[in-house]
Amino acid sequence: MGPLIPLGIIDSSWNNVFAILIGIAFGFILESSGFSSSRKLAGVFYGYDFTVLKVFFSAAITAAIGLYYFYFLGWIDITMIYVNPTYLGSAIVGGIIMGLGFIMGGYCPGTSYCGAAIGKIDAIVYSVAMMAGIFLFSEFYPFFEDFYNSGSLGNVTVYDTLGISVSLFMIILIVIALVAFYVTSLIQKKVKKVEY
Amino acid sequence: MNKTYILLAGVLIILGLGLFVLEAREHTDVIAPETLLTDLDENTRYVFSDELARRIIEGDPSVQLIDVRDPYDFMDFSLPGAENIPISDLCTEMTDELLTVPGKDFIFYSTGDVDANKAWMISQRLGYSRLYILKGGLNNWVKTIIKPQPPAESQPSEAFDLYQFRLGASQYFTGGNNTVITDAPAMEIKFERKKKKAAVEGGC
Repeated sequence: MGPLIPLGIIDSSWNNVFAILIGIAFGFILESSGFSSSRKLAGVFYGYDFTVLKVFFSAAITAAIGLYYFYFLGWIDITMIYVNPTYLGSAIVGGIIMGLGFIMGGYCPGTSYCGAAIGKIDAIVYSVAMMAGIFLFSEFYPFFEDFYNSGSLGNVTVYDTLGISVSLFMIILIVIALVAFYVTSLIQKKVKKVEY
Repeated sequence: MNKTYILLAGVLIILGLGLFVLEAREHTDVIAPETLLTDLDENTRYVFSDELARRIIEGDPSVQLIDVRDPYDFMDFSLPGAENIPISDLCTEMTDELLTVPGKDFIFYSTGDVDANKAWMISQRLGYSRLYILKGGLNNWVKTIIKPQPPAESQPSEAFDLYQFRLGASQYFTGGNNTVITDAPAMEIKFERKKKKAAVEGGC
């Protein structure tokens, strides 16, 4: 709950309270966007429903545009924003595993809890299986620890790597998003309607 | 194609172009007078002569001394590894090249504090970081490191330890004269790196 907690304005013991409140809000929005349906989520792979792509991509660019407006207007210090470090090899492998799990189970981690919360049995099974997966990963961690930590690129950003300005990158990203939205809507029209 | 979608796409593109305008308008990174005042009030910009002596003896690669006196004085006497940048040269490209070297602590010194403070303030205003001042300047350096005075008998043992260190440092910087008391235990030169600020943790 930055910057209020790291700066000590609110005591850190409130962390969990905010986590629960934000979690409830997030879950509510996921559910109201229809993300508790595994058929809707899997639709992005079969081409009959691209809601997932549209929601997450527009959320990402909205947040990015907002953050940089705040930064340029001097309201936040962008250097305080945590950039996840990039581990190229493990990110690719992790992405493939995550994608396989997504297409087989029809959920991603967050939406599986969302589905479980409204009593979907497949989501409950998925959540339990995910826990088992986390347990196995932790138990076997020493075996792939080296690979897990390999290929660290540090806290890199795309625009720094490409050597372009943030604004230019944002414009490119917005255009990519709009093109993606348009193309996926064309695909969606072509693909046979699936009842779900 | 739905009209709403076209409208929303237009809004996104306009917002993106707005970022361009704002970014170009940015970079007038002038330090606010309030910030400068707080920085001036705090004494964190000072490096003390003992700490500096330790770091030089240790060969700390992050130390970059900057002598802000005029070149004649610099030729006469200067600290090891110092670069000479008289205050009048602060806004030149040469200075910019030096003060943008990454991983360095730039420590200004002059005869006393005043000129180093001037240089610090101007450089701060120019937007450089990791700027420090040798507290007391060369006057204090000579008083404490080059010609240390023995502490009074009633002083605590730390004062004697410090004196021993200063004697050793004096020998290091002057090339040695025989003032070191030989029966004293060898002083361990301690060196502490500045603690790095922990990165902001977070994630989803």
